[in-house]
Amino acid sequence: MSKKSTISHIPVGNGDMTLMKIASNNIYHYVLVDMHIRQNGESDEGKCDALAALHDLLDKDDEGRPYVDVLILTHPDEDHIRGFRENFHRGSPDDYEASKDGENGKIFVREIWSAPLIFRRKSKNNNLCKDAIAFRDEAKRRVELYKAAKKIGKQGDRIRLIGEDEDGKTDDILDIVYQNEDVIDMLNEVYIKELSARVLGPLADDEFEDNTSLDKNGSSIIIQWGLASHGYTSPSNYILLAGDAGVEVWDVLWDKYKNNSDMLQYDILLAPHHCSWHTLSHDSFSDTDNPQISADAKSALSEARQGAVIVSSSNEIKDDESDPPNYQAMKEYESITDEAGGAFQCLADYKPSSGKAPEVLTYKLTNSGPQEETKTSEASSGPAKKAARTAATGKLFTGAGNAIGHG
Amino acid sequence: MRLAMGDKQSKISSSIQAAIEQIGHYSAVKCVKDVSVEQYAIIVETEWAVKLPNMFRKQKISDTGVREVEIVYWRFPLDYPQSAPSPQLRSDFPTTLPHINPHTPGELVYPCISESSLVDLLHSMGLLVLFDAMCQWLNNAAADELHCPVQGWEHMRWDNTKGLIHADTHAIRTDLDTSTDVVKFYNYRYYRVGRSDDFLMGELITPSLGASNAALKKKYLGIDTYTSIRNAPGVLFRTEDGRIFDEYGPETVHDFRSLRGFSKALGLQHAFDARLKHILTISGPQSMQKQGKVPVEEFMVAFAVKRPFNLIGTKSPWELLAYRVIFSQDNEEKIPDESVVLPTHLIERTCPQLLQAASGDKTEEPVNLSLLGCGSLGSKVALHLAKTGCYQFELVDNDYFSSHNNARHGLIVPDFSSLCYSKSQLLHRQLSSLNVESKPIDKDVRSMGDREGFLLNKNTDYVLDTTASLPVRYYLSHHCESLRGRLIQSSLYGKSTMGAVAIEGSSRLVRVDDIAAFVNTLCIGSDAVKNAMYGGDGPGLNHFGEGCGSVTTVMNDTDISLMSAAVSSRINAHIKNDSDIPEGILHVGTIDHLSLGMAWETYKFPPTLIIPRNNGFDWSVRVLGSVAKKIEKLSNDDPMLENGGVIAGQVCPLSRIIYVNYLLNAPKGSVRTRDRFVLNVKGLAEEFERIHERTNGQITLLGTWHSHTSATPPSRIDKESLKKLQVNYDLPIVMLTYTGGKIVRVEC
Repeated sequence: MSKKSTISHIPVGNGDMTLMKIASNNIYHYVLVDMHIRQNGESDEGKCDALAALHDLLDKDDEGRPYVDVLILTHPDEDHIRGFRENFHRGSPDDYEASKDGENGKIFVREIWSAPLIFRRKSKNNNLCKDAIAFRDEAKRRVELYKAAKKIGKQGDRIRLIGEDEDGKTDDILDIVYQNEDVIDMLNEVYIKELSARVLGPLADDEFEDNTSLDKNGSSIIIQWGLASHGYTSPSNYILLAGDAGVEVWDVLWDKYKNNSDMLQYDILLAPHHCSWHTLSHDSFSDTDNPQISADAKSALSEARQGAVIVSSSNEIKDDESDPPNYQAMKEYESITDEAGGAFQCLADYKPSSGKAPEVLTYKLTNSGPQEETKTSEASSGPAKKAARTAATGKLFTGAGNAIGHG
Repeated sequence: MRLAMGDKQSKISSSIQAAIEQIGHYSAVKCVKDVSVEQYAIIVETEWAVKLPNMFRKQKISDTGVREVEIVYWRFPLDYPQSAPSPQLRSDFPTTLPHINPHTPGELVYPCISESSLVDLLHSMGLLVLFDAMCQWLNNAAADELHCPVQGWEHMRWDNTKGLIHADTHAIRTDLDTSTDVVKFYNYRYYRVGRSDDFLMGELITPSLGASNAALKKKYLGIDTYTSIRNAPGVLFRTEDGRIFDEYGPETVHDFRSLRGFSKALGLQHAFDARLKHILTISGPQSMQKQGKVPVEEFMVAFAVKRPFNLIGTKSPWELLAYRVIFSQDNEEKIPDESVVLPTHLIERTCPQLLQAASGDKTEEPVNLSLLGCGSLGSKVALHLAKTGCYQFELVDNDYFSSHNNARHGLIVPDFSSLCYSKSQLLHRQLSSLNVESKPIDKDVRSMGDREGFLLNKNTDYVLDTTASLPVRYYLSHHCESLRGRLIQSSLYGKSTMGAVAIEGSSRLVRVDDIAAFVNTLCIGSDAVKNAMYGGDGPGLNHFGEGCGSVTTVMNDTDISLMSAAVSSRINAHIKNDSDIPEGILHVGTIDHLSLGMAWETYKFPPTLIIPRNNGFDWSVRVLGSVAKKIEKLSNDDPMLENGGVIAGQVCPLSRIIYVNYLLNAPKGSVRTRDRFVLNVKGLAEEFERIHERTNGQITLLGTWHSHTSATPPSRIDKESLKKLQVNYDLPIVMLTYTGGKIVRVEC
């Protein structure tokens, strides 16, 4: 069976965690965009075990390390980077510690993509959580290696910056900076013919009306991922991932691309900021009598292709004034998907097996656009079957305590 | 035949009932609609949920015609699970999609859901995997993903083909890649089974006859009176450069009108009309009768159609579509539209490219290998290597195949056909069946001339000696000034309990006789090697039938096959991966016939140090490179003190060569000073007694070596000691001195 590209949305409540498995040249290339992994011991029957789900989706390399080819942090808010310290390898690739038998090792990140905002000094709008600090330190380590060697290092030491930093701070490393409107066809230094990912953000400060430095949400990485089915080159799937980009960003993007709106088209849109009202409106939902939608922002988010799906990576959306996720924002998105003959899907509600916890929503990326993956039996996958047997055997022994008595 | 539920249950086995239960619980199954009993099968009708791509969800049907809910009929043979169930789809399911089995209009559609057989899948992974495969097939069909560039382009579906035509499709595709001719003529040979058009075996002969009409000559066409084999025209049209046909569809050709229509769709109608007119002119029934020949019944038309990616199982985007066109007996002027045209299978002929694909070995250019000796070992090695598709051969052997050779030879030769055939001819015949190039040479290599590399092909990459003949080894070592390729010598020992592959160093800086002499030293430390070389029954004169005798060892085919397969693997691996290693190499493998465990060791040898003979000493000394290196190392361990020891090895009185290939440490009590080394000989006699016993006397005392702390020539003491040694010994004595950074022989 030939490999098929997929995108998997892991339900993590109000947070983002998206894994793309991009099939090219008969191997998978893994791109993880953001993460929100609860700490050990926080497991909850009603919630998806995000870490376990991620490990199920990943492969291990020749050295037995689970790995991603590219880790992208759209912006350094905790609900996008939580779990990095504990679950991802940091430091030199040579210092990777092998896992104990039966345990998943730390995830090895071959290449990082980061916005330059991460390197800025601490300020009111740039207060980093511990995981974000760890990510920043790892990103800095890789940038310093590049500066010292003046060449792209081995995997595990690689980094790309998305967007230039202010005041020419990235001028000496422009060879590892992707600029806005660049079309990326490489992952971890490997050319991927099926990939054409267009950088739309972060926007530069001077692109905003008031020319002020934005907060982290305003500086989110925004990429329109164009992906062809395995073996083809012409994209048949467009995925728009924009972190927590707020209404000001979408206003600017519409202004930039209203005459070239293909730049914003999508088959799958991850509703920015977990279906926040502030993606669509300048008005506070709770403090304003009649909060208004920004027509430009909504237009920018309305370039839905036929059958497009807008996915809300959020908690359940209730008909109240909560934000995010916001019920009225959902309604606005639904109006977009209705017009495109598509659907709005809140991950918290995605329970195809009718269990308590939401499940991972996976789409195959086909010649005819995204297609929801059918949950087939585990029997069709050798490794999955083996893993299932191991898990079952483990459970059996755990249940038996330290010994199995015989009479 | 449909039955009431009570009757049904009595007809349905418990296995099938359990399977129906499983279908009902499968996640993609909305419901089991009906179960019916037919004469040979149980049909389970199910509603199957298809995940349409998002863009088609609203309209509930994909652009490819797949619905949101499809009916899948699972046909369970009554002997299930001995046989597997197979799925079928509604009769109006779109049949223009790839991966559908041959189909008759109006009947249910049978999707091809797995590359392997369903019964194998059932027994290896269980029933659920069949449901998974069905699920994935429908989802892929809905998303237009049945064609996958990675897997390859699915060959056009033929619902009705007649005849099997062998062809070297690799050669035809290579020709398509290198030539831009729109048309190529071929010789199409066929044999009809009975009178029907349906049963036919044919062959499209490559290379092509050429592109011009003149290439197709009347004199070659007709029916062979003795064999009834027909020689008819074949013509291949290729689609225009730059045009790619990316629409999949099943076969639509069934008569001449539809064939001509197909040529038009491919943009080839003009060439088609012109060339078929020529074919009719020279090979139509009336034309053949005018020539006084019995007419051929048909000719072949083939199209090479360029697809967007490689076809499944090939490395080429050219799809070859072949048709048999039956001549009309009545119309002289043209082929009537309603003339019968039969799509036919082009069966891939065995060829090196096919062998490479199946074996997994790859080569851009075939390796030219001259095989000396086509006996048991040689024939088996040749067949193993030939089947990789990476080699072409010269086969040298002047021996004739005897009946007893059938016991162990790679070939099986009936007595009658073995008469008057040499082993090289017979092996050549066998390799020809694989379409692997080979040239038989019925000669003794020793009679082939030495100056020209015994007249082997000048492109020879390797000469492989499997003769196990000491005279041949002697000849190759001492009487060949040059060889066409690098020499490899392979031998089996001890009833095939040991195999050795010796590969000479580049530019013959290490020769196989150096390595062969070294093999004896392995007996000293290895029981397995000792037992194989000198421990059991060696070759003897054995008689098979009246007057039929040969020197050979009695052993069975299994034993020799086991080791010859390993030897072949070693040779192939070296040629594939290590051909640029300059050192001489020895691979030695031993097998434990009780456990069948095999152990291989590899030795590498730097260039041999050669000390030529001179007027005072009529022996050439060849110091194995590894021994010379060791002497150098021991000399430099403490350069302020002389060091020394005993040298041993083999003496060849025929070639007057002394092979130094073994060192013994100086016994305790030897004295080392700045200007003197005194070798204590205590215990040496006993040690050599042991070595002689282990090596059958092959490895013996040759003399001594010692170092000088300064670059001084051999001293007076050296010369006197040498004289004394020579007096007391029946073989030539060698004394080596490491002085001034090199090893020299001490002369009296």
